[in-house]
Amino acid sequence: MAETTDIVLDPLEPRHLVPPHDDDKSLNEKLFAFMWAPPSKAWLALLGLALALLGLLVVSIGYTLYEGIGVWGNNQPVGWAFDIINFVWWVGIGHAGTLISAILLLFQQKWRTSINRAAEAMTIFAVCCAGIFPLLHTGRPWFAFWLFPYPSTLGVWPQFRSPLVWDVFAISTYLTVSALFWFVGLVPDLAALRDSSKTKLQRRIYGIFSLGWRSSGRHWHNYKIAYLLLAGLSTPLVLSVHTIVSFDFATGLIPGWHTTIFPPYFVAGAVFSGFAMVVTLLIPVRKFMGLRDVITDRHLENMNKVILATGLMVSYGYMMEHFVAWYSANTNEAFVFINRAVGPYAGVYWLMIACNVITPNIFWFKKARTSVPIMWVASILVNIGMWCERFIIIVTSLHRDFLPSSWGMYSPTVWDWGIYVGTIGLFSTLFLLFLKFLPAVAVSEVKEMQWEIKHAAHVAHDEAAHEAN
Amino acid sequence: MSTKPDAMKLNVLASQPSVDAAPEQKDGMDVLLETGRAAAVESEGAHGKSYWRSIEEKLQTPEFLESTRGEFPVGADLPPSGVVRRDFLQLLGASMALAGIGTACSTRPSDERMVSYTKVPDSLAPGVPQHYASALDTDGFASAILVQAYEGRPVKIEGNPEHPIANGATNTFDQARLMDLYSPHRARSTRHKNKDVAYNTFTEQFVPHLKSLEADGGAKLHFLLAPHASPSLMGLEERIRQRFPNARFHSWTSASRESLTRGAELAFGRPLDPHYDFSQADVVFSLDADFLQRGPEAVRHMRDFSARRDPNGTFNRLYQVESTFSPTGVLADHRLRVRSADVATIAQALAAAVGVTGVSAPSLSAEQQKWVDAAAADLRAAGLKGVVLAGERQPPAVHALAHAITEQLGGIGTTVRFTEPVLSRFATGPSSLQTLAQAIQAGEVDTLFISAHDPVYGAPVDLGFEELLKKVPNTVYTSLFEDATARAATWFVPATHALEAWGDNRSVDGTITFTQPLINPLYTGVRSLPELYALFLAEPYRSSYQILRDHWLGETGAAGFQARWEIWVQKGFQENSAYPEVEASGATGAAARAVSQLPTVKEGLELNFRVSDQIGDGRYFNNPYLQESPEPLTKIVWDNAALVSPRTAARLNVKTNDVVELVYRGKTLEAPVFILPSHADEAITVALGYGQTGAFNYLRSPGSETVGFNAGLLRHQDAVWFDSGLEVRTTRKTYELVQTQTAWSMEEPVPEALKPLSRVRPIALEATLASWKSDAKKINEPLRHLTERESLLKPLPPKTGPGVQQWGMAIDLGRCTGCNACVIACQVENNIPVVGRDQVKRGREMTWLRMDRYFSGELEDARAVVQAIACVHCERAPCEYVCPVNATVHSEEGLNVMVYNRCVGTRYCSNNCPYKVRRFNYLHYSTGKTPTERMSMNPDVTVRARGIMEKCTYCVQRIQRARIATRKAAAGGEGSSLIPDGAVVTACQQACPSQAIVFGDVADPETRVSKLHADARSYRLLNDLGTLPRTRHLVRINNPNPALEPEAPSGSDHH
Repeated sequence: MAETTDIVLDPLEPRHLVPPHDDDKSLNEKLFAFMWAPPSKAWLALLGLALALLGLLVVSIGYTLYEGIGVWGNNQPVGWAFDIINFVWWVGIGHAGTLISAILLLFQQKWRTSINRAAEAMTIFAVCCAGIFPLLHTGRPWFAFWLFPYPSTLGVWPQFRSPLVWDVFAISTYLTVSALFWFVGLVPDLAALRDSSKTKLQRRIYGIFSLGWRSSGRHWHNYKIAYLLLAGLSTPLVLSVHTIVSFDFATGLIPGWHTTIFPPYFVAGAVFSGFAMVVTLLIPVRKFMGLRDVITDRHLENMNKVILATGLMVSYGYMMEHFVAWYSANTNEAFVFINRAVGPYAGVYWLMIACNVITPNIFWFKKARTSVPIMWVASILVNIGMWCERFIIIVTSLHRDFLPSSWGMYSPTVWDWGIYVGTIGLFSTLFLLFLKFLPAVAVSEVKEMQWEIKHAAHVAHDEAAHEAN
Repeated sequence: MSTKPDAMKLNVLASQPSVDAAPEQKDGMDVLLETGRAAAVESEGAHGKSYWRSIEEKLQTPEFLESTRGEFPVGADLPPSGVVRRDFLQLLGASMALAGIGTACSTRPSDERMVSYTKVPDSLAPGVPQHYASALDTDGFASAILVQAYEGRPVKIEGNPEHPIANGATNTFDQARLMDLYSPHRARSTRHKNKDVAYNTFTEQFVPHLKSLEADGGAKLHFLLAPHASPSLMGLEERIRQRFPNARFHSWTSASRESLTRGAELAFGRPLDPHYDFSQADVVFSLDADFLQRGPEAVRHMRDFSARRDPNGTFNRLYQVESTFSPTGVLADHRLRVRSADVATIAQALAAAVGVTGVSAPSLSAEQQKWVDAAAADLRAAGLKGVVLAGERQPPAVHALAHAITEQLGGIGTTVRFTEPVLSRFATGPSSLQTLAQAIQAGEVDTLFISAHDPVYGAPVDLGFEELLKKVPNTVYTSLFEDATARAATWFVPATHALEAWGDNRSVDGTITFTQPLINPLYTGVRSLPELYALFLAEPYRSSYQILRDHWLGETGAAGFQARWEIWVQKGFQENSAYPEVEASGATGAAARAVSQLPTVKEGLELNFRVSDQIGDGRYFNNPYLQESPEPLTKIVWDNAALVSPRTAARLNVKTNDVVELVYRGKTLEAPVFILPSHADEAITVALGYGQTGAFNYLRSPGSETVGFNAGLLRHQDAVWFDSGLEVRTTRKTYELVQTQTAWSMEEPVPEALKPLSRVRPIALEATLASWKSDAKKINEPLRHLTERESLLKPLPPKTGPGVQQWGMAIDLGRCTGCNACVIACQVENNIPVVGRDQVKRGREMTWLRMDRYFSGELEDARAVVQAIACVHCERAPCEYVCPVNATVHSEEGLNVMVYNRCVGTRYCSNNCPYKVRRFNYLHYSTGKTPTERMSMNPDVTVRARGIMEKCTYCVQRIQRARIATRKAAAGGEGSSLIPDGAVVTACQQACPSQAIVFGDVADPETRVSKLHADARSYRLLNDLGTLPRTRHLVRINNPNPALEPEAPSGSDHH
């Protein structure tokens, strides 16, 4: 049964992903400890901060709805700005979870086990944050439901040629499948939580959501099939969502938008920012929740490798964009790229280049890949860089397009910032609540891996004994 | 025009004493006004008002009070003054006795009241607009207009198509003046020493006071009038003189055109008004004359001049000498920028070069001399087809020289004709005010009646007019707004708007033009000028209608008067009443004398005053449409600035938005700097009219006290237009001027190092006449790219069928000065909101039609081209396929239609519009309107709410109206069901004085627009995007003098 050992131990790098000393009980105790313990002061403080930002979001949205989106900085010609920048940014962040869960599952990458749950949660929360923007950015959000195809008495359907309608489908499908995938994966852990509940209320609530899981063989059989199927469903979505988001721009004829490279380049960028966000979040999580044994340096290093790879893809995307702008001899297109680099928003552009093109290259070095402070700073820089990228794509393309007479400048208002920072508050609130009430690590999968390791050890021992005999 | 018969019938009604102006429907708004009026009677509280008082109490329902809140100023509802209250009590019993008899003791006879729409006249159909001829008054001249009214509510002003001057077009101001009628800032109650009083309090005190002046023949009675040539007012003035033989009349306007008349007097020995005929002129040489933009005849100038800018006809050539880049300068083939004082030198040099006897050539720089010589040769070659004209800012001697040169060329009688001056009676410039000031100083003025526009604000500062007024015991001032003079006057009587009272006046050619009211005065307290004049005659009350009619009855006799009167009122003017041409000669003989009278040219930094292109001399300060119309060259809105050339700015070490102190004759004024290319060096130009305090516009930036700065604070009697001796001190302050267009040129802005990568975009195309004619093929090569469509994707065949017309537009760049008349017309027609300075600063102006101004050439001697652009109605519109909710779709007639109530406001369409012509309601711009402002809305056009995208509709409401008329006619057996060419006139097209905009059916090759589309000059903007716009632009052709401009290598004159 060398095969089993191979799964656990990478032949090229024969180290255990997870130290093989925990049994189920200790794993339960260890991984659920944070949830059963009374809320720590640090957690409460963070939640307070997150709720304050959430309050800012509520106020900002309320004021926007009351006065109109004129309270933002958007104008003619820059019809889209923070609203769509933040939308694309959050959707991009929401890519890592599904990628880690689904694609790495299909590729049987065992190292996903410890991080997939948090990454999936992050995905869902990020998509929730993203979802606020397409709704709010409309002039009359109370009619935004007209983007959904439903048989209305108006007798009017959405305009199916518009990428915004595709967006509606893409985002809602992605959110649904991601949420299902996440929940299905949670069921065995919810049952474990139910069984280790300290109070009746807890048992009730976890009991309801564990859907009567009794860990029978049949349950496991169905569960595995459902999980795999959902993984199969999610995989194309990882590619489709940001592809479709990129169509919002690529189908337009504005120079800087009208580019065929956008779909792959957006997907790479999304994975890039998503992984960076996972790193940004997991480093404090594993420190404060004492999960260093479960989320190991090895995990982080692997993620940094993905960041490096996708960062290079993004750099290639930039390169091709600039090359095509020159090679196509489309002078309007060429000007957009000159304007990005030397125009009024050059600062944002060079920040983007610094964060997205230069920063990931430090992960060529093992020292950087394995140094927690370096990777944490780098991951934050990547997220800043990816936000700048969306700013550059949206604002600099719009602010100087074909007719110089219409050129203008965009600057955000306090409400633009309020909503942006507010969504970070919403995201943090949801994530903190998640950490407190749901297992941040897929406990059942970790246990499963422990058993696989132990089984492999037994087999090895038995074989050794047999040979000795 | 199909509406003519209606107007005819109505005016028959109007001419009968029982019905006054346009009958008005008693819809909700009118009921409201009616009740509002009844309520306002309380503030009048004069004799016998108790009758109304009881009714009004009944009418003051809570709903009514709520709906009119904010309409009346604070204090309007105060009880009447003590004296009147006593009168009221005295008369209470008598009034009660009269109650029920039905004779309302109003100040206006009851038969002048509006007629309820319960009895609809036969000719009226609700919802179908009526057109009435009327007139507006600008600096004493009538501009003939045709007013469109819905159910008695005027909503749009057009030029009177039959009037010889207007010919259907209007200038920017007249388009916007409807908003003055409905302005929430209009004065509406009589004031005594800044306290609200009843109008009758004024009459009760003033009429006996006048009686006391009779003793010495009114020696201490003075009038300061706005210049006018109204026969009926002059008749009244004559009768006032009979009662007060010693009364003295003065006249003043801060934008006086006196120098034209005085110049002719200098040249020909008697005061005359010049009238230029640009349809005859091959070569035009303008000495600081902004003749396409300013003055009462500019509309006609535009029409005649631009008709000669077609390469298929005989092309004219314009030389423009000026200090500030003017709209006329935009169309100039050669523009020489000199200080205003140096214009006289150029005039002298030109006179010498043309060969006017007795004029010696002054010394000029070699460059200028070459320029003048070339122009002189050109003028001589043109002979009697040449004309030289001077602007009103130039002294009379320059005008005399201009006439001398034209006479030398033989142009008098061809390119320029002379008539008796229209404003002949009084001086209108500072000299008249000077006489008055001396009289006041000498204590000879007891009573001063002022109808001149705001002299306290506008009079030269060294006159100290406000202080002078304090020395006059009784001053009476009448105006539309409570301005600075209103606050300084003892009595202030709010005036009627031109559309609220009857009147007459002469237009610039002398044609007697009638002002017909379209609506009863919106406020009870307002009085027309004839009504106020009548007080001086101690006559019983007569309305402006009676006064006017009686005047003409007396003037022309009773025989056949009714028929005559009806025709006048219907047409809006008396035909063939223009002044006859006067033989004028002797200008060349007077040239030497003119030269001797030329002011000496002083060195030093020059201060130039200019009447604002946006708000005139300040009389349109309260007009938000005009305040927000971009200054044609600088594109600044809601502000004026100290304009300075780049070189002088460098010398003074200032840049745009720096605040400087302008120091002149010991007076200091802070002003923000704006660097304007091609401005004369060593000169600074400031626009008048800004910086007023008091009733000012509500859309100004929050926190600021006023709009702009008052340049008039530096204006002196001997230097009303320009003078040297200005000093500029820099400050550390800055002030952000707001522009609707910040890009200078079509050149891409890149740092020096990347200049080779930059290029000039082919947007507003120009070519020279010579290259166009000689080598059209070569010139056409770059154009071909912009006109032809070579694509693998074949355009979808247009949906055509029987009766389906395809609408399109052509805009001729060669005819456009960027005057904004079309922009305002579009705004008024389509209920486009004004958004205020702050929103424009954020880039959210709402105008559907905009004037793109691009400079080209060297910064110091830049030329400008203006490109009007609204939605171009692409056949393959990029906005349509990106809208997620089908809110912008294509009509079968080729219109790109915006469905407001389907729009959710994603703004994707605007982002994807390469022309950026879509406008988004970021805030609820249409809200918060007062009841009167709401009355200005065009009922045929939806008022858009917040969160909705909008854009040019090709005036779809006008298309539909024409369609209904055509189909009705077709159903009756007249003509086809296709709308004939010319039946649909868009608002912008109608307003444009130079007819640069043509609209029509492009499917029919015989229409005007099709012919223009087929013209070699026509091109599609951004053609390479494949959007197939229905609006095409026509290349502007310039006609430079080959002697001055070496022929550019072919093709390179395409920008």
